[in-house]
Amino acid sequence: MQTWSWNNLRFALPDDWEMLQFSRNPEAGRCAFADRYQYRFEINWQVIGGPPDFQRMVGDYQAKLATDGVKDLRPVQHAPWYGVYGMDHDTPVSRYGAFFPLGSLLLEVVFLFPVGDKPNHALEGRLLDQIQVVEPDDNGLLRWKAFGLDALVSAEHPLALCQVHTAHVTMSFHDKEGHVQETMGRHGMVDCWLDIPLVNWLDAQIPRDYSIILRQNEINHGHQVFHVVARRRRPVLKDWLWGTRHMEAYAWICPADGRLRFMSRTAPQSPKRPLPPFLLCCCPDHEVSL
Amino acid sequence: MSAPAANVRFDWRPMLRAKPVHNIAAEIRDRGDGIITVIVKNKKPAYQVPPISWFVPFNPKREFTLDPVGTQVWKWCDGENTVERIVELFMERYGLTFHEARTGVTDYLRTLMKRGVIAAIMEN
Repeated sequence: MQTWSWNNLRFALPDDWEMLQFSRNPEAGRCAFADRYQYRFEINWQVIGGPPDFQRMVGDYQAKLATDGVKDLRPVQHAPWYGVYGMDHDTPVSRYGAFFPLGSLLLEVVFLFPVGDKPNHALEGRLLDQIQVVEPDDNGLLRWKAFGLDALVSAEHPLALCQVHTAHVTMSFHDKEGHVQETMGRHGMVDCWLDIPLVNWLDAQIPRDYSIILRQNEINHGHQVFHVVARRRRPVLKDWLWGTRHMEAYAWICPADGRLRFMSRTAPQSPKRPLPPFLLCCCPDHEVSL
Repeated sequence: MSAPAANVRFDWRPMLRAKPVHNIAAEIRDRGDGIITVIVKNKKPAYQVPPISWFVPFNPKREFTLDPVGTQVWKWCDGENTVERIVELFMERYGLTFHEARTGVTDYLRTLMKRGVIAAIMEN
């Protein structure tokens, strides 16, 4: 089983189920997971005012599915989850819903089984039991664990960008005002594209209008970590108001998976509030904090 | 609650069972450093008749140079390996997950197919 953390949701899925669709919005959205051949699992979330009337909701939903041509409909339940099972285009599909008072979240979970297979309600139960809505930790940090990235990011910095390509993942988080930007990345197939020393690659990630003021490197648990700090060369009006922007970045290649990790933070030099920690972990032995 | 209608019918099996194969009419130039050039014959378009052909040159051959990663994928397209097997070989070689490799490999195979470098044998 593999644990996934996305926004304030945490759940565990079989190792070969991968996330192929995602939403960034913490208020309403969806993540979908597939095994090698087809979609297997979806989790939908929506912030609502209060607990819904599940009996009625499931009844209405069952009627709607029947209208849509879903066959063999029957109610299913795995407390606190209420749901409906049916055959949708010959695919066995179970849909469950539950309300979580923490975050006032209505969750809908969908299990899709291969055509010709029987639904595995035991597996459904095991996976449903592991779905949690979590609160930020004592430092106000939320864990994000997806696409091989495992990070702790301020709960006040929502996910602003997530780009996933073959062997390359980048996720960026911004505060509401857009003053603080935190970015992390995981890049594979390093031998195929990294044709310069890592320290030079890290320098190339610094925007042109920044000057590097500090460059360091250290070896930590077998990881050679490069670190740069840069300052915006020509302050603009925003910098006069909020302080000259600094960028701090780390890059290293984890010997465990051979992938390049990158993390950076751009923030005013003297923010009004102290910056929350931003941590990226690549393997059990190594974690870097900004 | 909402229906996941879009994802119900998604199934990669037919695509994964296809067997890509080299275009036997193409000419191959191996540079020996892991890079190959595939020269594909162009079909003369119907509009390539005088007087248009007097002004618009027609190139009967097109060259595609594949980088070492692309060359390796092209070599796996031997008519025996299925797309699924090629994805597996790619993920093993570069330490990727299945879908990470699948998206890259299938996009690349699609490009090669569009350019006539390979063809695909589909299972009935």
